[in-house]
Amino acid sequence: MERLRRRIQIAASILGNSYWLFFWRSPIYQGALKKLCFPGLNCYSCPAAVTSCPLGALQNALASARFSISAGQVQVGLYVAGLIALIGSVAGRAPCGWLCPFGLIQELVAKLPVNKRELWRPLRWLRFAMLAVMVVALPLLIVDAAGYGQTWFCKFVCPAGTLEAGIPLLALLPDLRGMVGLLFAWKLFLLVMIAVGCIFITRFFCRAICPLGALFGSFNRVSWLRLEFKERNCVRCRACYTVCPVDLSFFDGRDDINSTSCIRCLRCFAACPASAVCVHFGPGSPDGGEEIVGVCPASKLKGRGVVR
Amino acid sequence: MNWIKRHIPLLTTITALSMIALGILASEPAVMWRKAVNICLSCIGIG
Repeated sequence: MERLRRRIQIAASILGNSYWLFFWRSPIYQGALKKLCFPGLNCYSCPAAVTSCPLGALQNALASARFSISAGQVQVGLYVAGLIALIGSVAGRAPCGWLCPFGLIQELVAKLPVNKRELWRPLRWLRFAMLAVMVVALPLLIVDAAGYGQTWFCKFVCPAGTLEAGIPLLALLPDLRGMVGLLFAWKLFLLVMIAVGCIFITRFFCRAICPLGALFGSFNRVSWLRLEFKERNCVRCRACYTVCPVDLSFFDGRDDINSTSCIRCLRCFAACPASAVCVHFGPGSPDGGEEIVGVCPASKLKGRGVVR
Repeated sequence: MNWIKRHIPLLTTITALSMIALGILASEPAVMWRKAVNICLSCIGIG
């Protein structure tokens, strides 16, 4: 399972960044695919990116919403918000665990042989604060004379933008180097700090800072793809907790298995020796008593794919 | 009420699709494309 996930992560990162003509033609892809969002954090100013970053697109839409309304239009970001909601409603936070290039980078950084630490639990709320303040409130509320706001999260925080776009563009376009100032130094510092954080705390950025993870995670309890913890099967071996990259402890009731932190990597599902973790996929709610299609390790072994 | 509770994932997806449709009607994909095909220097911390 883990090998499959790594292959899918690599394939998604390559597919999302498959414009390799930036050496010879335009330094950025300008095709129609940029009308779509990548289901993960992948800066659209990255020379190789072929789709838009959902977080950047959302901020841009909100930053120009007031101008749009004053101009008699209704371009308020419904399209990009709908795309994010569609991905979230089907898969919850699974794109974080399976598709996000920055998630893959964090997992590779975490391979450094250092004793891992747990994230201070209140920090898990920081990503919601980032979403509310840097992605929604500031772009919407602080506008210039023409009515345009800024993409605050991209500009002041996003380490993916620095790594995937800022640094490559500086290498590619020498003219830009003269424009580098304090802001870029700040973003470089933040990137290094986040990388150090990821060495000691697995998926540090996803768990503490990423507003896109906060958005997708909000759908975890109501998405088509859901996990179920069957407490009566649990043997308290802690295998799920040991393998969980975001330190969820659902076997003892401390966390919900569909917590907003869960990135749906399915390591707990693969590690559980007692079929206590099940995966469901369907449009109905498991609490509603409706039969849904799902997979349990035990039922899989018996050649059945339906959880009743 | 029970039906709604049992079909929250489906209703969430329908709501998302409706938002996408409304956005397309308002020509939002073109606006998004215009922003995405230009290098946003301030977005990436340059300039």
